[in-house]
Amino acid sequence: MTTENLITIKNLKKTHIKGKQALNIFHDLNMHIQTGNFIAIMGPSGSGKTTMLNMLGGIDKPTSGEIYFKEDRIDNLSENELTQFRAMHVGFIFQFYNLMPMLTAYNNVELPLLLTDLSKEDKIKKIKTALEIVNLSDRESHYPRELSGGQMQRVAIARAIVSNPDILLCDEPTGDLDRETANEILGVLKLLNEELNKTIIMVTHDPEAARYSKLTLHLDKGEFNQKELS
Amino acid sequence: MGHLSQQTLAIININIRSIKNRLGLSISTIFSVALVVGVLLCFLAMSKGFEKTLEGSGSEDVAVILRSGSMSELNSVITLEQARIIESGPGIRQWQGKPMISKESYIVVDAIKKSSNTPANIPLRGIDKMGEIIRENISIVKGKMFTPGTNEIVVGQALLNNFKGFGLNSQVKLGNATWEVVGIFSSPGTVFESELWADINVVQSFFKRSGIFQTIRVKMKKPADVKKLDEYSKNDPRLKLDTKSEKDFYLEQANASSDLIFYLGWPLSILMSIGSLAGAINTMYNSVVSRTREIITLRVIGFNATATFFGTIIESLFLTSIGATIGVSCAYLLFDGLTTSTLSGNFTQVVFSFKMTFKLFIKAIYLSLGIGIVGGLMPALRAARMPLVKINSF
Ligand SMILES: Nc1ncnc2c1ncn2[C@@H]1O[C@H](COP(=O)(O)OP(=O)(O)OP(=O)(O)O)[C@@H](O)[C@H]1O
Ligand SMILES: [Mg+2]
Repeated sequence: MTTENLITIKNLKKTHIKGKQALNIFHDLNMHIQTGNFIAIMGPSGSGKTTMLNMLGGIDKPTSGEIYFKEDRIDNLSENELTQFRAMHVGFIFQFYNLMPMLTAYNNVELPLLLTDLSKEDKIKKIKTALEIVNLSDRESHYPRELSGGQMQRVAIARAIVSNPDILLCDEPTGDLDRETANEILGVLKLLNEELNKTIIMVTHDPEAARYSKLTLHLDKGEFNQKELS
Repeated sequence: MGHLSQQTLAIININIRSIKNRLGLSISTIFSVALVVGVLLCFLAMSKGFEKTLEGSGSEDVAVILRSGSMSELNSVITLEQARIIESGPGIRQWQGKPMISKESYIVVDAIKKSSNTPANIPLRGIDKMGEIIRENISIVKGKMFTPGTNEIVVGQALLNNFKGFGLNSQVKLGNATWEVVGIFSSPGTVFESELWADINVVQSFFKRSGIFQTIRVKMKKPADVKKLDEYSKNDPRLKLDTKSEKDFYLEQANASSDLIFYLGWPLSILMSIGSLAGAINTMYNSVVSRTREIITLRVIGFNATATFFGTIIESLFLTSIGATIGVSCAYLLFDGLTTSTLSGNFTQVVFSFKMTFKLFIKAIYLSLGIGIVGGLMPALRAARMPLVKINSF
């Protein structure tokens, strides 16, 4: 397994402005995330877990400090550059799946490929493979309303991996699922990490979910309990 | 990077597939646009048809002479003495040794409109043989021409169709006299079809206007001679008359009246467009707000803000073009060729047909596209600027 740094955070400060009140989430955070890791982030509600994922995924920007993706700084990119960065490097998985209700499973998985110049055949191949990985090949023509929660989350995972991103960011991916279904989804994530060497960062409240990761970090008062991650 | 058009197409697909979730609003937008387009087309077609009828009425080589300053035949007075002086003017064509001059009287009488059952003014024109000869595209389609010296009249085809009681052989009371309809004449697409004709001498005596005419028509050798005749008459202090070609005469009237229709039509359409615009904006805001989650998700996945913007504008254009298509089709089916009458510059009724043309359709389509773009603009900007950090609040 490679031990290259996928993400490096330097002197990160993040303040949310809420009305007239400034809310300090991170004061001076430094850390690395290595390629191939599967990290679970836990912590109290409001501690900044989602804020952290948003900054890593190019949805939000730090107030100050630097974020590097491999060698490239991403915190100072323009809106359009960040959009491209997300399309090329990041797969997102949400608590409530965020599928397009008017599109079939197949067409939902196809969405990220519309941002690429792949040929039609390559796209078809990639969509089929992604659906196979999450074990939903027989449901490709179903609409989200015809699928169970676990199946919808598997479609969402297929969508997140179809364009082969470097990192998967998951915010409470099992928060809306029962235990058994949650374990299935976590199994898929573990498989993606172990077999396909996908780097995964997963926010969760569920200690049992955290056990599927290689490393569990606790976030509290703007600090992780561990700074040098291996 | 993926092409913008590919992204935009995907967003349009998503937008249009979700229209059924806001069907009521979308349909009301479609219909308000259809209504605006329909009303605008109706006015424009009316204006066009009216113009066509008046334009078609005039010949270039016929001079129309009215008392100086008279805008219409109705309030013009020309004496027999003045008419005699005109007869020796330059450039006048001869017919069997006689100058082709038609001294005409023009009187307003009452008739009942078939469509509304209300009285309206129609013109009775007194002419002699020369008046008939000068108007080349006149033909008797039923019966015969009136006999000079009798109380016979002939009726224009359009007038017959739109007013009560002018059938062949019927007796009609005009002024204090009773007349007999002996013929129907046709003169396609001209104002003459909206007139009654009788013998000039009989009209003059029944209406107590002996020795007085309203208008003189003179057939010239060539169109340019109209100007010569005008100069001739301007140089004679006894003649305070205006001379212009018959074509110009009707064109001026057409402009005055079709301007009225036109200037009433556009403001009304614009007013209605504002209403329909408000509807479109509301619908599109609703569309954008109801898809907030989808739009932000697509943006987070890596779809461009520009694609979201155009996706919304195009959905708006999609709705308004359906509306425009309905409006245009209805206007075409209901109004094209529909015949009606209205006051001409003479304050008598002119019968004309609505005329739909391709150019008018294009104008209506432009209007609807304008509504679509302006209506979609603010909502589209909103779609393009949605805050991505909201992604986790659904
Ligand atoms: N866009 C924002 N504007 C202002 N304040 C924000 C914004 N986003 C988050 N916050 C605040 O910042 C703090 C951290 O929010 P964040 O969503 O990162 O917490 P979290 O750890 O993900 O919590 P949870 O476990 O409840 O999801 C919270 O107090 C939240 O109210
Ligand atoms: Mg959170």
